[in-house]
Amino acid sequence: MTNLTAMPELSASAALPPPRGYWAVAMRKLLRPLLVKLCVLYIAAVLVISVLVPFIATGKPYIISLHTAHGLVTRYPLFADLTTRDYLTFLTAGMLIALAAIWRLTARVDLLRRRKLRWVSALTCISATVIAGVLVASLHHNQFDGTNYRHLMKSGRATGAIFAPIPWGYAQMEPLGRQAVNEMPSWRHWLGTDRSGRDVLSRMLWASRVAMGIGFVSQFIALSLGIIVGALMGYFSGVCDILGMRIVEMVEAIPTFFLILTFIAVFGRSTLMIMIILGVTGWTGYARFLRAEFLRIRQLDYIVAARASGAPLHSVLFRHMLPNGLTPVLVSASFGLAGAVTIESSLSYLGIGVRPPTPSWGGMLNAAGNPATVFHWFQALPPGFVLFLTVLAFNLVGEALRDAIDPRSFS
Amino acid sequence: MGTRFTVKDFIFLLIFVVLVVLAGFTLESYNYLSHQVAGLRGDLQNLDAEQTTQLYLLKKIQRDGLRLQSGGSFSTPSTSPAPRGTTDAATAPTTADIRTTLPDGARYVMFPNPPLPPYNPYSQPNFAFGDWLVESLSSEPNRIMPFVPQSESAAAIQASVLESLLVRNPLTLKFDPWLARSYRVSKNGLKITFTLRRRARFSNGRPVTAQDVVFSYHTVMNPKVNCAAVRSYYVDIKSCRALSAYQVVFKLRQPYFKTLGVVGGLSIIPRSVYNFPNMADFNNHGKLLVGSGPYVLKRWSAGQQIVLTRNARYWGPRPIFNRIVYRFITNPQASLQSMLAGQIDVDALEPSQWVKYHAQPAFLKHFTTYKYLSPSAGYSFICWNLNQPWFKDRATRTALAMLVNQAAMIKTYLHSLAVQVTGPFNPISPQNNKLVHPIAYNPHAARVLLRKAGWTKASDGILTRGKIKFRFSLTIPSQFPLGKRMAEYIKEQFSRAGIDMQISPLDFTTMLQKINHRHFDAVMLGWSGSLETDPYQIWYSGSYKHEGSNAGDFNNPLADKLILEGRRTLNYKKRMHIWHRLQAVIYRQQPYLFLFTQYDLIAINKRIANTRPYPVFGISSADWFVPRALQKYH
Amino acid sequence: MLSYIIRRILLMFPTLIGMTFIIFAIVRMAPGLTTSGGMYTAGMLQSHQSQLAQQRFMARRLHLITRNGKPIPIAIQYVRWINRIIHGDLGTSIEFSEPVTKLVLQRLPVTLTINLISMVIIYLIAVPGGVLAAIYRGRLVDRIFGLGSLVLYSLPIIWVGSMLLGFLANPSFLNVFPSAGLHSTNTSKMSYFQFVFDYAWHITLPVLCLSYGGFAYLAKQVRGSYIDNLQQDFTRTARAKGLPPSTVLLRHVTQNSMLPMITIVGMTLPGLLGGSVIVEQIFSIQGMGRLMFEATYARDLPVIQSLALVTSAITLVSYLMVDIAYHMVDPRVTYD
Repeated sequence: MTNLTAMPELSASAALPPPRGYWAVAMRKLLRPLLVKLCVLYIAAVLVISVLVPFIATGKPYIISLHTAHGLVTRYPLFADLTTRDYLTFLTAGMLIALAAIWRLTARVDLLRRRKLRWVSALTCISATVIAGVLVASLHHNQFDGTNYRHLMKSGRATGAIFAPIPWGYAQMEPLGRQAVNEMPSWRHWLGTDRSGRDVLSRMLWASRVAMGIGFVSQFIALSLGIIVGALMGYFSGVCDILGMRIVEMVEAIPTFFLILTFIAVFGRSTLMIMIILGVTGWTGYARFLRAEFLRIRQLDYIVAARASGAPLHSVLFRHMLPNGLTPVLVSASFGLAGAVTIESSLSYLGIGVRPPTPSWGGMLNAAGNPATVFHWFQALPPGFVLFLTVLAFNLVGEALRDAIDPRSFS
Repeated sequence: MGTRFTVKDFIFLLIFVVLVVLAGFTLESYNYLSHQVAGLRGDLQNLDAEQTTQLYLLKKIQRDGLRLQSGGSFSTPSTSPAPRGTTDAATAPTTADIRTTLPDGARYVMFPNPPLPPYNPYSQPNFAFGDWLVESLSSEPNRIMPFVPQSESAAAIQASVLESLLVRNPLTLKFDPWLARSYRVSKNGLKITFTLRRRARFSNGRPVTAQDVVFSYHTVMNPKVNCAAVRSYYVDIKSCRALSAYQVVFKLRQPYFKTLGVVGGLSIIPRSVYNFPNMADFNNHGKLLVGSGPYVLKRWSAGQQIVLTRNARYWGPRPIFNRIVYRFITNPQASLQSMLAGQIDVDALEPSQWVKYHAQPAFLKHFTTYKYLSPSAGYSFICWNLNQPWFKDRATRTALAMLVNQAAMIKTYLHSLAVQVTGPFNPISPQNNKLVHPIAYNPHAARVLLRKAGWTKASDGILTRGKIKFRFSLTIPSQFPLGKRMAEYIKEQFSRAGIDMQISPLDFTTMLQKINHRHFDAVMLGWSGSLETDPYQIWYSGSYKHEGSNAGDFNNPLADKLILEGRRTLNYKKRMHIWHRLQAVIYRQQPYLFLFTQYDLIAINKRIANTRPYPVFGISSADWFVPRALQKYH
Repeated sequence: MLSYIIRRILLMFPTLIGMTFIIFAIVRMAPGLTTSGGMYTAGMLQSHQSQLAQQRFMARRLHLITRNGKPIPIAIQYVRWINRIIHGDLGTSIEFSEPVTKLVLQRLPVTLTINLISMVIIYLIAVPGGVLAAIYRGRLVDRIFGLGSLVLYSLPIIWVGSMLLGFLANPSFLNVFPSAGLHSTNTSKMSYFQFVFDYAWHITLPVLCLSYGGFAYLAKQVRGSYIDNLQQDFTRTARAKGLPPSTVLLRHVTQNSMLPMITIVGMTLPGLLGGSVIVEQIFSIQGMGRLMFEATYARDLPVIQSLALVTSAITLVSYLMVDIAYHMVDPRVTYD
């Protein structure tokens, strides 16, 4: 039985015209999946870092014993220093992980119960997160801790401190008297210091949070907008479709960067504003894509059959079509993310991105040598390289995913 | 059209494209050549004009008695023979400069000839006319018409094209008559009479008359003209009237020590050019710049350069350079590059560039470098909004000043190329009180002071007084990298003491709007300076109203009294004494966190001679020339 | 043919009008942009009266109020704006005190020239590259090519630009290229060829920055369409007929692969325009991108709305030209 089914495949692959060299085959079998794996690993690492960066790069120690009037007091400055935003980030990350776990665990459950199970558990998960988020936001007050623990340790007023692996905050400066600005890499600062005497590595890690945050939130907004508009166009078609397409065309006709600059000039800037602006200007591609998918799927036999058997159109569309049409849109979001990260860093490079001292890869690049009187290449190299790697990883993964779902484009 | 697109078509298309490109190139090269020819023709006309100038000069010498010496240089005015009969009522014709007090107590100054620069280039042994002066400007001005623009680059260009009634002598610091031949200030200082030089001409050939002076004044005062900043200097003037074609009188509401500088410094513009039927149109002619100065605007190539060319009909001493070219180079790296390649002659260096080059023999072989404090450099500061709960009391403000290590900041960020200021006056100005010492960096004392002022650390680590948390935002202009660095440092310093300062960079226009509406906690800015500034605009309590410049609402009765007294006092010594007291009062109150003033760092190509700076005013391009052997543009 | 062009142009108008509406709406949503106050002033030393006068002046400049200071209804504001645009008047800049039309006419050629040069270079390199990759499809060359183009595509302009500027145009490292502007100072003394050379020398780095991304994108498309056509029946037929491979490639495959190349011309230009904001800023070139950036910094709304309009109009026109060229190559293609 196995032999029989294997036969046609063999003959088909033998019929492919161009013969491949040994190296090419090897590369294809080895390099490409390896590269993609590396990229996925890299993205995962960046995501983990951007979520957990308060524990990795900060000047606050995990634990420290202070000599006070009441004797030795043990404190946990790092944990006390976590902000509401940090907690919300952890919650969101936890929610996403939980959702993925639910998806994975329910995969084995039989079809009939699966959907219900998934819906219920996902909703519970999301609502729990939202409730927790609201609680944290209303109950937790940010601690403001300006103590220089390093100094405390040195002056002997504290003992037994365990510092983070990179014991520098993103805004923490070396004392000006030390003349530690624009330093080359050393043991004290693994990637050197910037022009204000801050640790470049720490800033780079924190910048990953800015980049990922802006990338994901803006693409979430863009996706939601795009899916709504695209689904409406594909569902109603006719006049709605024609009007919608004209709107999409109009927005697309304005060059993106000019549109973004217009928004910034009009509404000002902040991290949140940039997320919204990137979302509002980036939805057209998704809408176009989903519409095309909907229009294509509409013609497919199974939908025609479903409709012929009396199922109402909306049920057909949103039960059957949306899940099918959504996959390619989600895949193209990978490219969207790469684009959003690039644009965010470009805006920061131009000086109209996130506010100082919030680090951003683009802003760090700018600080390294523009307007360049002295070009500090060792400051420009790492953030630029990380930015490049991130964009490349998202593009590569996007490409691989696209090839995976659309075998035609796979060479 | 039904056929398909074949390779043949493709080749045809390719050939077509190549032909079009070639044709384009040919056309362009023709354009370029004709452009060049036009330029040459312009130069020829200039040559013609030069000959006429020579003739004109000869005539002028006969008329005005200016004598050309054998070296081609002008004699000093004091030795020149008597000019023709003068219309000045007060005195008899004279040959020498007069600076005297008349019997009725009025001060009278008369210069028969426009004064030559104190470091007279014309009498230098290797002096020569000709060549170009190429300077770099760090930003392209958006407009260069008189009065309206407020950019430094526009001011630099206007300085060679527009002239005023008086000029300040850079050595004696006194006002010498320029377009005016003489001026008289009445004893109570309320009336100033100018008599104009009859030979002064605008570059369009029209004489400079009293009507033009009156017109210039009315232009500045016209609310339709978009120059509120300049206008505010002239609010105390009651009237400006022409007595005759060459006599004009200004009357004032109250005596004011700066009147002479303000009135005498008014740029005189030709009525024949700028008299628009609707003066609102004045704002729409951003590139119209006509005056009586030694140079005229020849060409403005957007994004590249502005070319001034010698005013062939100039009425005064013959301009030295044939052209002055201002290159717009926004990037300091690029301007240094052009400087090293010999493409520009003068450049202001960045502190980091200065540190690298000012002692480098290879650099010094070709360039002269100067470092000095200039009165116009002004100072930077952080203005506390004193109406906000955090900054109400002096102790807190003093503590904030103690938290910032300015000496280290200057050393690290500016390579020690700046001086900390101890009040609103420039360190080299006579107004500056040298006995006021800067508040020393002392974080420990600052903490003690803050505790005394009632600030205690709350459970969340922020200083709190009553219900008020010490959390505010510092507004900085976003296109100011150094400001960003300083703000980040100050934020760090404050956070150590439990003060949470947010940094909010804003574009300049929005920022000024916020300042005008007083919607700010603290703001980092700079004031530009002058030799003797008037503290009224910034420090008088009344300047808070009507969106005045006292944005932080500094309100101190003693300071108010001193300011009003100082403005009225015409006696120099007494006035300086008052300013010194005022500075002590202001610095004690700490309404600003006073930062520093930066050195001017200049490099000049060695080709240019006679570049030594004046003690207070620094370098002056009016002194410069290029010896014949070193000239390279003809 | 003619009817197609006319219909296509007619179809462009609704988009154009809708686009003006979007831009108008965005700019009018600006907070603080009301007639009563909150306008921007450009100076600190101002009396209250003159400030009010200035506010009115600014509001008039944006045509929000009449000469008497009465607010104009939004619909009429829009109609008047459109009317002025039709008459070639884009308003007057607040920052530059000059008609925006004049500013745009000054800056547009600079940007367009650089972009067109970049585009030519993109095509000159990308098309042969894509074809080669398609021929050696699946081999090592293709693999390297595929990865290489993706790498190029992912390289951020800001990084490449600042590295080039820092290393190749810096007296501290290699002082090979000029770091700013388009011409040297002494252009008036140059012969035409020196002048052209000087220009080429100045635009090398900016053009490099603008073109590498587009090059990767185009090459990928070319490769894709060649591969598609190489698998088509007509190619096999031609091969089966025993035609030499070069003839097959040139005659049969190339002809059919022209279409995507033409489409991409239209797609590339808007992208290049966006990229020129960054490139012109890095290399201090006074073009449209820099003007847009300066206007953003100064909140010069008349300039911003005009530039958004002009660039979109350029985009629309390039789409139109692509469609017409497409139609000329393949008349079967219609406008939907």
